[in-house]
Amino acid sequence: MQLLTLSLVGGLLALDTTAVLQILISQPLISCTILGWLSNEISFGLHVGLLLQLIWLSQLPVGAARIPAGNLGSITGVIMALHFKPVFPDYENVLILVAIIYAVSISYLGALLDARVRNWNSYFFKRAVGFVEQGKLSALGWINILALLFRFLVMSTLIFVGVQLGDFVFRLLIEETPADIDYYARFLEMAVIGSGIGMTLDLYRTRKSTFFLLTGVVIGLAFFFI
Amino acid sequence: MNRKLKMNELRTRDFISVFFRTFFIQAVWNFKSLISVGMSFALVPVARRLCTGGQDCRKFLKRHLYFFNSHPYFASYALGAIARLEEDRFKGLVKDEEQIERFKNALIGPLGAIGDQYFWATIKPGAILAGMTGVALFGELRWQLLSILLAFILYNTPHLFVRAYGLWKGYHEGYAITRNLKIERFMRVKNLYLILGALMLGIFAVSRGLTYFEQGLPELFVFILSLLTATILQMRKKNMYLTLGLPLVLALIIGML
Repeated sequence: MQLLTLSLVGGLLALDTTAVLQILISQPLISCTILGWLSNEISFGLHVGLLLQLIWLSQLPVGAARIPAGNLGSITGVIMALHFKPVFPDYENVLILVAIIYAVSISYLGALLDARVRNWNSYFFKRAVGFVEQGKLSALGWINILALLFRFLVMSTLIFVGVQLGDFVFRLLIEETPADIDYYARFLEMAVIGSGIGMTLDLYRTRKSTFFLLTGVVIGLAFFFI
Repeated sequence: MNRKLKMNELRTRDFISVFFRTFFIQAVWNFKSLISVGMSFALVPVARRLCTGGQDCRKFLKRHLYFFNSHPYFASYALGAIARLEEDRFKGLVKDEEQIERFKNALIGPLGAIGDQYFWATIKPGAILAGMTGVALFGELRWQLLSILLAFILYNTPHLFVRAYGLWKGYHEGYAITRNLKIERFMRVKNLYLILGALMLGIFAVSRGLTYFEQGLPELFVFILSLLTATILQMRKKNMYLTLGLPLVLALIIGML
């Protein structure tokens, strides 16, 4: 599927993070699978989604905490990896590395951009006050749609430009890198899963949670050995 | 009952309309009024039903445009209670608009705190970990996709329930809704998802560990090293980028050896 179409779908999925619905479809596990399915690479999308999901699971948007835009980053990362999958089919580990680097970088930029969008939303707020003062109640609906459209365009543009820029840089780098780079990167998956579990453990540090965590370990061992 | 009052009572279809509008509650999130535009948008059906004229509607919505914040799902409790109080105001049972404003301000803290703890810190990780464990355990794509669907259902069942029940409960309780907004009232489901998440994380970690053990000792070593490094860094509240980056760099170095 074309990069532009994937970026637009990615922008739509990213809206689910905070702006509308919030039904989980922007989470990497789901969004990366959807994008993989659209690119006829559903298994690869799901695999990358699983890895990226673990990175962000412990990042909680609680209170005034400012967290990276993990969902947007993951969407961009997986589009980048899916974009290169047909070009470099033998470089799966490198593609995973690229997806992670991209996801992390865009998550940082995305968080900054999200704050800007929220600032710019003050304009829509002022317009909403103006329309209500004029008695135009249905305009509130239009204000919502315009704000969503604006956010969608900003996010889609970030994804599209990010992947285009990455395409340029990655093609230059891959020429210069040794042929066995994919072999060097063979432990990346273990590192992402391991560190992801390590970060997520932070959510289950109470005595009660530890008990159930250990129970899970025992169940897991029993499952495999039986 | 007075015919005029009867005509201006809220109806089920008004609540259905409010319910669907709650999905847009954060569409215009901004630093000046936070989610107030979404609140006003959700209250439009209430305003249309209760207000007697254009001027009345303008005043009604302008009051609710001023400022409000809440967890997006738990905002339904506030919306239901506000709908009830505005209806009571129309009936003359609530005299003062300021009273409604003070009530709204009092709801901001509990709605945010409970929602964050309940959904972001417990239900979301629990549901996603269940899906991820399914993906890790099943090799067949069909079962992996079903696991994702399970995560989606596990998350959205309490999500949609809170949106709908909050609206209903808020309307029926009015001011008294504050009594219901205590985390203790949500502990049963919270504990269930906490247990689910912890169990799933344990199973997931073991399934991955054993898979890497089958692949070879270096794979298992990198997995355990990364797990320990990230756990220690996370406990020390280090930056997330460092917590993730250090194991990745170590893995690349080990890969080159």
